[in-house]
Amino acid sequence: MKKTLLLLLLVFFATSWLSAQTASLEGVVTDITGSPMAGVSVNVGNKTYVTDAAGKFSATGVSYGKTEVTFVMDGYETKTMSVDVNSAAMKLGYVQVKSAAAATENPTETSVSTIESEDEVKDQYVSGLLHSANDPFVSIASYTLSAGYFRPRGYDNEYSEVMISGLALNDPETGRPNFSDWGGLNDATHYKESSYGLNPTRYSFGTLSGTSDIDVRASHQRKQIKASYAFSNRTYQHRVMVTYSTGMMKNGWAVTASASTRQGSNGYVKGTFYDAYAYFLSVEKKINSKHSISFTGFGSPAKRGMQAAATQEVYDMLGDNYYNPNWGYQNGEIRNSKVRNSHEPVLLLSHFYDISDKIKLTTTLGYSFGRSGTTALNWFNSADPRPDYYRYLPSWLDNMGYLNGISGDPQSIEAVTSLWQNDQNVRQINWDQLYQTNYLNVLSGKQTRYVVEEKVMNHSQLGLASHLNYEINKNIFFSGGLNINIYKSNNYKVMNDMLDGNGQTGYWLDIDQFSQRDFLGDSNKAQNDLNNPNRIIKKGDKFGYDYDIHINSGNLWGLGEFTYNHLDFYVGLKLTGTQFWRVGNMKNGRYPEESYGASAKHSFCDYAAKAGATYKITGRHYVVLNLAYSTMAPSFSDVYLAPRVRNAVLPDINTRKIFSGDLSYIIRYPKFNARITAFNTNFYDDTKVIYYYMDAAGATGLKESFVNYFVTGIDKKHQGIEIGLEVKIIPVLSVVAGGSIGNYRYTNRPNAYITYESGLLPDSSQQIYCKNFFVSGSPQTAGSLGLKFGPMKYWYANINANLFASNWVDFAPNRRTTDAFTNTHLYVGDPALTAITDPKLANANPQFTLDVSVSKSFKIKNVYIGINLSCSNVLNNTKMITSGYEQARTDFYTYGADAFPAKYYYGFGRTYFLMASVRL
Amino acid sequence: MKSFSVIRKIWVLLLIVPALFLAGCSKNFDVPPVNVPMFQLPDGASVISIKALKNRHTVLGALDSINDNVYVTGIVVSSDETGNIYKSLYIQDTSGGLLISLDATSLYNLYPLGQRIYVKCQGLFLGDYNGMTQIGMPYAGAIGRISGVLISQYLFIDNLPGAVPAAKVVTIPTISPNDLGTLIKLENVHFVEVALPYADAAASTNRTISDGTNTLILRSSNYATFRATLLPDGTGSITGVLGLFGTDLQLYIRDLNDVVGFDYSSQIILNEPFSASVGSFTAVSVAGAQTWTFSATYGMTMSGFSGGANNANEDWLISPSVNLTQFNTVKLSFSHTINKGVVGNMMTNHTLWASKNYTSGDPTLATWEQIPITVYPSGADWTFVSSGQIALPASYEGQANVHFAYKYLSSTSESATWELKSILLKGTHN
Repeated sequence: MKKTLLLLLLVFFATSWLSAQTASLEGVVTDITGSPMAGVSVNVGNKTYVTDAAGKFSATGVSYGKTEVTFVMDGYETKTMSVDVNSAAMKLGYVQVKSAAAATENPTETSVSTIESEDEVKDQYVSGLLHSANDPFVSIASYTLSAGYFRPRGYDNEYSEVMISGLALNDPETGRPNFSDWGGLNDATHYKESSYGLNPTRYSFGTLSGTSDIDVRASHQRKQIKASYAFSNRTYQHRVMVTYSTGMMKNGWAVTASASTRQGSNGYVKGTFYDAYAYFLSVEKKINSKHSISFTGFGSPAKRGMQAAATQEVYDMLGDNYYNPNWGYQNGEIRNSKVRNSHEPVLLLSHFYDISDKIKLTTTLGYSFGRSGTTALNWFNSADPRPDYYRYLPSWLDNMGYLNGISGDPQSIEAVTSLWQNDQNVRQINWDQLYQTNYLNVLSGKQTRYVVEEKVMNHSQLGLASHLNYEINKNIFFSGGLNINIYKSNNYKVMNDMLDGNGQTGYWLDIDQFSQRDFLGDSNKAQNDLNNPNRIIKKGDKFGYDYDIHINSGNLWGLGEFTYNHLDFYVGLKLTGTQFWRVGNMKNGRYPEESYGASAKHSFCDYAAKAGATYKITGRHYVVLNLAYSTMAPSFSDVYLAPRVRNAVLPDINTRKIFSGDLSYIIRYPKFNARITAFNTNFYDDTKVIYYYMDAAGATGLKESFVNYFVTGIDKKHQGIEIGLEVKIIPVLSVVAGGSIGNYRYTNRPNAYITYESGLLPDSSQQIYCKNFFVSGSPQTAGSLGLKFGPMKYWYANINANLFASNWVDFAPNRRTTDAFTNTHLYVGDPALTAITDPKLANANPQFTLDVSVSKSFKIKNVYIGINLSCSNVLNNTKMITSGYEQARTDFYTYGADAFPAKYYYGFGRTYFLMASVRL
Repeated sequence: MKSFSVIRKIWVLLLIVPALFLAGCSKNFDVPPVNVPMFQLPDGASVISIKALKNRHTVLGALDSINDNVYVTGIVVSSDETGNIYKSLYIQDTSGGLLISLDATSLYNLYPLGQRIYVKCQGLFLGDYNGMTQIGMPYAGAIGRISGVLISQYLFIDNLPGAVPAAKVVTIPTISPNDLGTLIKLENVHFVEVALPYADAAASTNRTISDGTNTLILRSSNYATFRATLLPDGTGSITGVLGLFGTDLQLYIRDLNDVVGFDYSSQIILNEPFSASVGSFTAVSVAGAQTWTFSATYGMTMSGFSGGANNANEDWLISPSVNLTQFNTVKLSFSHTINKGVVGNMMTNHTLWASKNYTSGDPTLATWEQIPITVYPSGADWTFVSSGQIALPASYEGQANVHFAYKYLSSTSESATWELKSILLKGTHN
């Protein structure tokens, strides 16, 4: 840390002597009718500005000499002009941008996919978050490579930030942006100001991966009425979207409203469905030349049938890499057992205050609330209803005899395989049989055996964000802000469907059946709520667990940008305070003394510092260096040992530390635009939590039960090179290329802290042997080479050839411990061992895909009509694993090393997206 | 009114879109009807009796494939709901009972008690596991379980579950091989290991059913939900499915409702096996350096012999406070052995005491009354003997704070070793 500070000071003093020889550049952007255009991204050198409601932009710190100025606006042709900066206050006057007729909305709207970790459904949207105008690499990474789950520099989404009017919309629990909150509102949330990586922004201190500020101000939306219909075979089939924007009206009001629906009874993956709506309203009132007030409210109620990963054995047996175990037939209709149902509206009130020409203050008060839940099957004293449970697979017949060296009966294996291939009721969930089992048990007065439960999170969040932009003089620009966030979530299970009927009403007892088994004869231990013992649960009742998470945080940040003729630099500092605690609403039988009521409060104080410099060799060549060091409080779930049932936390709580830097060389010519960057980021003391069913036999002294497994003190290194370039061959044809070669690895042997959720055995610890293992979550190497055609007579076309490589599977830490091998028959040099010790998990052969898109627009009188067609993965590559995880469950001793293999998700094969839009 | 028209347009827009699809995809699934299965014997198939099927297995240890298209039918008489019977299904017809070996749990959901099922035998195998004939699939050259996924290809249910056939009442000596795999009932029998759990925690356990002369093994699984329940005193009837292991007949109960009669009135007040630790007891040394110590093998042990010499000791092993306000006829039993001392001093150096006013600490400060131990071991070997049922004097009934204690004495001339386990205090609830 001391080193970092020293470095910052050095950068500061070493450059302060530089003479102030830069220029400013001003202009107004209009459409061809001369109406001012708000929200146009103007790239000057390596900086991006956005035009205001009057279409005005003003760039500062522009180097003398030739500079490229690029104007980017969705639905308009990108315009690049070369400006010879030769006076201190350059005025460009009015710059017209040509409408691309109807919108050429980016047709490759990234598919929404789901990644599921064991027993936990997590949504991970891959988004065009980092869209940073005019950077070929960023544009390729967000639109083309994201289909292969590529994440720039291998960073998790929690290191990116999405804001609206300066208020961050990241979920305080996961740190990740809640993309689903504004799903289906593409028109209304289209305008973003983004920065990539560590580059400074003026509305936020920034994060490791990048920051986007979505501009929802009604006055910044293009005046239009627009309707579109899209047809796709990805996650939904139909999308209808209608948007209406008044633009700034004479009375000082501006209004934007948008609504959409996305519908699909069967997505690309069978059994997934989509039933989503979205609404958006933004009203802005310009009070006078200094004050504007904006209110925005939006929401996106959505129900979606989810996909689950499966093992390669199943995919190979069925010849289908898109097998989805989550669904089955009920009365001949497809029913998905995992349905995500969310509706989390956001309300924002913003105040834009132009204190003076040089000082602007933006303040946003936001409130979000709502619910998100995911259903799942639950069962009591009954066979596992999931069709791909390991004991139902052909491999089980071999694995069960592993200990005694007995292989399975070949005829039985053949018969099981054949049933899997030919019988829907074996391959998928047999809902009818679950009902039948319930009927018979209810008839004899017993508890219902199979139910559908929903894990629900209800949250409410109040946030205040304010930031000030102050142009102190032509060399110094200060940005600073304050954020306050008060968050609460209520987490519980609710009975969704008792799977009863025909005049019978089932019931469910609120006890934990694993504890009933583990603490035989102790009737208190098994109670989920001692305040309501043996409670009878009916449809709609809360049960299982019920607790609140409170997270309050605040931060203060400031960033100074210093601009001189050949050198720009910045320094920034941020201080963050975080406090969280748990409140239990049930008195759990396993933890009667530490489950009910509030836990201790845990407070963290973090800081972050960043600095960087741009050396402007000429107006066309730049060298950029960024450095940042930050500490980050652990997340709530990294700290609480078993938040569903108890207040206790890890004995040693670590704060994460991140040290990151990148060095770029940027070239900007009218026909050639390129960037090459080398980056390195070190993560220290990270935590990872997994929750799984621990099998007993092999490891001495352990018992079969659910455990929470905390890997703490993880060190990682992400290093690599990024390249992006765009070459204009002729005015309507460009070559676009971008790619990244990375090396993201674990660099130490962290420790695991193991806690039995039921408290069956005392907590213990293990060392994880994962040094030099690859980090999962993204292909470490990916690239795309494309041709961009257009506009020619309102035709546009793109073709991209993409390569993905080194996409490693998420390893299960508990498999990399000495305990996992206790008493096993595995020996040094055993082929089965390689699968466990090899850091290159799973097959990550390079994968190739090809994307094509074409769009055409027409203008008939005052009506613009646009048609887009995009086809992804034209060559139908169905062999690309986009993500996967090893199962944590193991029993090397009894069943061998291969009994619980990894589960994978495959990238979609050939998909299309066809959209027609009308705008007036 | 321009602003009015704006608002109107917005409303129209917000209403149109949901209306477009409102009736779209929201699903309400129909509840499946109650299915009353009716089994139809396929053409060309015939039903044979269970006895006839089992008779095809004539050579012990052989694996016999069933190649002709025959079925057997029977009523389910077993249940794995409590976990005592595991991956096994027993059906019986009037000719006998059949054990079907299945690689699946919670069979009671699909094949409940009283359910008539048909078994398609073609493709299955007959064999025996330690003499017990069963139908299944091959495993390592012998009979094994039918894969869980394949069960539905061989077992077919017919109609809703009905009555379970009445268990055949037998006496232990009259049990015949024909009773194997069927439900039998023994009357007027008792358990030999009264107050021990049905099964130990670590493994399936054999207990002994006795009619006074003859005995039969009761085998229970350590995974059974009633595993820790203690075997009751007295006599009663026991119903269960009859199995065979080698030459041993074994009875499996389905659940505790199979154990009827018996004396459930006496309750366990204190159960201290000394199997894992000193438990709720307290060791207090009044004199001498040696103390009561716990041994996983021998229970609580005390000896004054140390460093190759006899040492004088007075050491007490004191029970926790027991509340007898609601009990009468309180009896204590335990298991002990004494060795290496002077046998003639055994009954003075190893004594049992009771107190109504002891609280904690030094026992000599409280009032103790000696309770005679009725059964002592030989004093010259390591054989554990049961103390028998030692009645506590009636004066202790109704007392809220009763302690009892084992008092050990040794001298510099002799020091025996006393080992104690399985302490059980029982009483009849008022």
